[in-house]
Amino acid sequence: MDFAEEDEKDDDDEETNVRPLADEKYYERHFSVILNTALRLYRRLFDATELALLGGFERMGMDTRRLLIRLSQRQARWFRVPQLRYSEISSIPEAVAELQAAGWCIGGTWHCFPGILIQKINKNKLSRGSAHRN
Amino acid sequence: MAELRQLCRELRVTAGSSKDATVLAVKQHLASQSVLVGSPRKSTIRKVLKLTGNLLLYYSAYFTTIEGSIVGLAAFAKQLLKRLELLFFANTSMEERTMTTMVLVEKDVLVYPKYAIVRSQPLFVDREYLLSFEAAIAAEAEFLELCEELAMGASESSRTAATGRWPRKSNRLQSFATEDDEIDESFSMALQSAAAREAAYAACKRIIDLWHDCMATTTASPSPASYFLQRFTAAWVYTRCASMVAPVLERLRRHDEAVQLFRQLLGQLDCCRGQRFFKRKRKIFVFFIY
Repeated sequence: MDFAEEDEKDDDDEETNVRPLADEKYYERHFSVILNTALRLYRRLFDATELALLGGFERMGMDTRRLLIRLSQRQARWFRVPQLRYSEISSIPEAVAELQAAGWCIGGTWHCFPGILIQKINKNKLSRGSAHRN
Repeated sequence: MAELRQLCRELRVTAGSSKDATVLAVKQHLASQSVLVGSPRKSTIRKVLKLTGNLLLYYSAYFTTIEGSIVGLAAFAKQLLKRLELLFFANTSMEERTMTTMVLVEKDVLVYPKYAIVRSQPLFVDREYLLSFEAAIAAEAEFLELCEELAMGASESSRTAATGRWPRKSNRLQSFATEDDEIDESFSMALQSAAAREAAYAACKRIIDLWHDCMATTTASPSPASYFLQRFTAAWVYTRCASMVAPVLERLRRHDEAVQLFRQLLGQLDCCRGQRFFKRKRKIFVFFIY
């Protein structure tokens, strides 16, 4: 079985046992529970910068909060802003801007992140590629 | 061209009439992807890199894909969110419980017995403990990732045989700790190359050193009273790592070091006591066979 087929199988597995959730913004509720519990029980484990960031979460706009949680649930490291689409978030660019202003996210264009490219090139592949070209 | 055709099949893109048309179709497909890099197995970019090995195509595809503004969570923020999950779910390993668990519970896919949880003691005595635990978890992840990469490399090189499929991560993790300790065949194959052996040995040495350092400092500082809470110490995580390192040392044919490590692991009674039978059995096995 190749990787594509395996991925497909994973997707099929995920589709079983589907029962619609009562509230489509469930993740926001869950995150609030996690945040409040952690802050209530373990406030002393966070430093001032972390507390400021976590404290500011409630003050952010609803869309911004949702986008932050959505992004935190994704495995990928970088996303193209125009390609981000969530039906419950009305303005993604505004939410992105607010997240960047608050310090949760960093962004820009690919020119700003040459490291992204470099870190993804496996050394072996690189040498193989050079050999191939030579 | 054969590689390009394979790439098209993998990405489910219809090949064009000429090579240029096909490359264009691939580029267009990549440009429509929202995820740039991420999941190692599912990432489109990784697929391209893995299949073609053609850097020119890779570069052009990459630059086409990342036109426009991009955004990502800051590393600091990501770490903070991970910490929240650790504290809430009391995770002792890598991502075994996350927010997904809550959804699964809500959908009745996962069911827990109903009981009241009383947290008589905090998971971490202070921030220092938390940070050292996180560092240990990171070291463990790094070690496992290296093993995974080695095995993936070996698996890829033998892909023509179509049997070298690397098992799922959960199985792989299990394979280090199961009673029979059958490290996956791919991993053994990976260790056939000198460079891989060197890398694996360096990683093993690093883990052992970290474990020794940690055990030396932990004896001097107070440890949690409950055996359960010991799981949330760096010492526990490093001990768990060292238990995984021992079978790798065997595979590297460093039997003396493996036996010595087993002795040391059996000599401590603070962490991972549940694995004592396994360690004892392995020690006897290695000692008498080699």
